[in-house]
Amino acid sequence: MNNINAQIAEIVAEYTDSPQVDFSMANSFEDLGIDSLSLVEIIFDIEEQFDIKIPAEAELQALGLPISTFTDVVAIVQHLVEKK
Amino acid sequence: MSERIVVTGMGCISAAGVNLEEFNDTLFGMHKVSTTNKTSRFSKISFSEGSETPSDVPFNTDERSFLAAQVKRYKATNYFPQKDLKLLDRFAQFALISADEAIKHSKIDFAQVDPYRCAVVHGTSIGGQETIEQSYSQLFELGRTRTHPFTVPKLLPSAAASQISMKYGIKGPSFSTSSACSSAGHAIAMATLMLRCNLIDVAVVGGAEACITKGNFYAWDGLRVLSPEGCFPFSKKRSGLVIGEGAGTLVLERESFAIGRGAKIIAVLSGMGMTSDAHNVVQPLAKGAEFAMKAALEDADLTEYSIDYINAHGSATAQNDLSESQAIKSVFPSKPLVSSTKSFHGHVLGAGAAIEAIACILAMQNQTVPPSLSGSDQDPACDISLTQEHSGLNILERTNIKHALSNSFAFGGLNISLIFSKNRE
Repeated sequence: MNNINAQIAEIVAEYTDSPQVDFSMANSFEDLGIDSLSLVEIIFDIEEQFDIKIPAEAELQALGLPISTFTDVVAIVQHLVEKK
Repeated sequence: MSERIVVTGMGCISAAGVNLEEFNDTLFGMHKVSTTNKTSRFSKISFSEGSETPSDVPFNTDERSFLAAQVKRYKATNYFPQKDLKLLDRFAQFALISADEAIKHSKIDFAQVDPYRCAVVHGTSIGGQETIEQSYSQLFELGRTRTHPFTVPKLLPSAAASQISMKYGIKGPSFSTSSACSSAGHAIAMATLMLRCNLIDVAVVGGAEACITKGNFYAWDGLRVLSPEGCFPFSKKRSGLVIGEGAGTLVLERESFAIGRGAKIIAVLSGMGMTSDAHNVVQPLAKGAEFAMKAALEDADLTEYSIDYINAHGSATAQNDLSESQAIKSVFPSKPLVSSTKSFHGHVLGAGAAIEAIACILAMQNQTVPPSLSGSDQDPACDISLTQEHSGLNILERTNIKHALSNSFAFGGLNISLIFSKNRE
């Protein structure tokens, strides 16, 4: 889990001007200064790194997995990596 | 009669120079070009296995090679931050570079004018070809299952227009035109129509192209029109066209608006004529070209004796050169001076008409006709007043140019002629 958290933090840090903050404390990606376009890129980078396919937002919602915060993303990746 | 439409800014990047000043020096400088080294402004390129972008010299003679008019020593990071480049195909980079120069040249501040009365119309023949080929390579060669999420916004032919509008906060009509080698000409024409009917005050117009890629070159090679030797328009030794890359942008305004903001008027866009051959996808018809030039004269309210210089389409293919010569002879009994500046910047496809419009305006400013770098072996079948180099020297024809006409005749028989005139003294 910690390893996944650290790897995702490293990816997210590339898209924000404040890489020192604790991403898990942020309420949303917007709070981190990450817009929807950057989020699309972050998802792409995560998919590449973990060799997973993150489902579309509607599908995630149906699974009860929101994707609006850093912690959400970590949980989704954890879920998908375990399923592999 | 509708209000005059004037040019207040110009910018360009091509094999003939990375900015307006270099372009002007290349076309009008009294530089010597050795007769044995005519292709020096173009580069021999090859595409190595698995690569969609070209390799420079040293060039491996075992590989299939092409001649291309590349922008020399271009490095994207010299112009754009890495972050921005993720969203910019090479053609959009060139579009922005030329637009930046033209806007700076016109001294217009878009924050000080009504943004909804400003437009961007920027043409391209192909759009984000490099992005398309890179993503196809990922999918079909490397067997990847995904492409970068910005692939679509990068490759759209309208990406250049979007990028220019976003950078300058231009909020009126913005779109791309695509009509192969006439794309930028149609962009200029569409913006001129919007200006003439007072829909807008200012338009950033032009075209951009960046398709020196493996897929594109192999495709063009299939048509058997690429020259391995150089671009020699209207010459006996012509052997086909040389594809180039780059962009040209002009700032057009309604004359009263330009005067109102104290802009310097560089030239007047006095006429345009558009026709379609309705004949064949690659074989041009002289009649289509002839009627485009006649329509432009009529639109400009000028006679066939008024034109002092014609910047020909002059692609150096046998089909074009013969039909264009025939059309010019039938329209202009006074045989105005003709040249094709493609011998300097190559065939820049969707950007060509904008770059050549700039060449026309510079010719008026310099009172000089730029030559065709096609040697002294004019094809007798192309019996026009061709301005050529002689004995290894560019002979620049010095003459008073009041009105210059620029032709662009695209595959599919899509023709446009534009007339630029000197502003009244």
